[in-house]
Amino acid sequence: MSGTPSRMDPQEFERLALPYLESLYNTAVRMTRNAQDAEDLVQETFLRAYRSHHQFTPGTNFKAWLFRILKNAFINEYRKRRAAPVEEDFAGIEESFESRLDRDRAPTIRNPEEEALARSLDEGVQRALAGLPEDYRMAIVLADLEGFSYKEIAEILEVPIGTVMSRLYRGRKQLEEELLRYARERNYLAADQEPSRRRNREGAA
Amino acid sequence: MSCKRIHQLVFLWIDRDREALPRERVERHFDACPSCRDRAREVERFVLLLRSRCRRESVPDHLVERIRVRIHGE
Repeated sequence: MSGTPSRMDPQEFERLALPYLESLYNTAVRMTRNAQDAEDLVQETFLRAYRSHHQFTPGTNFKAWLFRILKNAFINEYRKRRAAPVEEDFAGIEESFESRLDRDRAPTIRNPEEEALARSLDEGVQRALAGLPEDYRMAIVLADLEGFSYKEIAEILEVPIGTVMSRLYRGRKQLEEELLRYARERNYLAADQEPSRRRNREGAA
Repeated sequence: MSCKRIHQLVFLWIDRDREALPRERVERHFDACPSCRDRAREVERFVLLLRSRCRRESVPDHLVERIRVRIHGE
């Protein structure tokens, strides 16, 4: 057909694109927060990529190109379902709880209470991440779960690097606060484990 | 560089090896301000925790097949 860009051999496309399926699927799960929607989103991403493969510039970052298609498909398909944006509430909490969690993660034999705590904290991380505004969540997923550089994330999200840094800063900060709140609500932070007291105690030792 | 600015940058400090952050200026601040350095270490541990706690989902077998069928049907 004249005027229609030639289609790539499907097997050649699979050879190029399927190695990124696992990364794309995991990102889709984090963004849609639902396995069925994630499958639909990934399938849509592969179809769009296959149809527009002639638009890919050889020698540039194919993985980032696929993720940009995923991002655009997500925005197009899910914008209408998007929940109201979460209000930022940076109330100046600067304490941290990670040392308590670090001990929990240490490779020691755990008792049943510690096992339950570990599972609950995993759940806390999942929930806090799922509760982040989409822009922050996407930046964190790409940087911390998928290991993309700032430059690649900027390319995927089609924003300046400064915007990537700002979203990462705000997203990580909000996550830390959410997890701290989660730990406090469940009394995972005993009074003597609050960060400021812990520091004093260590200082006196 | 002010402590206020550093309190933003500590959230990016874990990325210092792979990205162009103003490393020297931040290090100079840390040398003069141990509490900001401590804060950077705390945040770094937090991000490492976040990375280690996020389990990965395995791709359902039927998804690969679904994608193949759609692409070959184009």
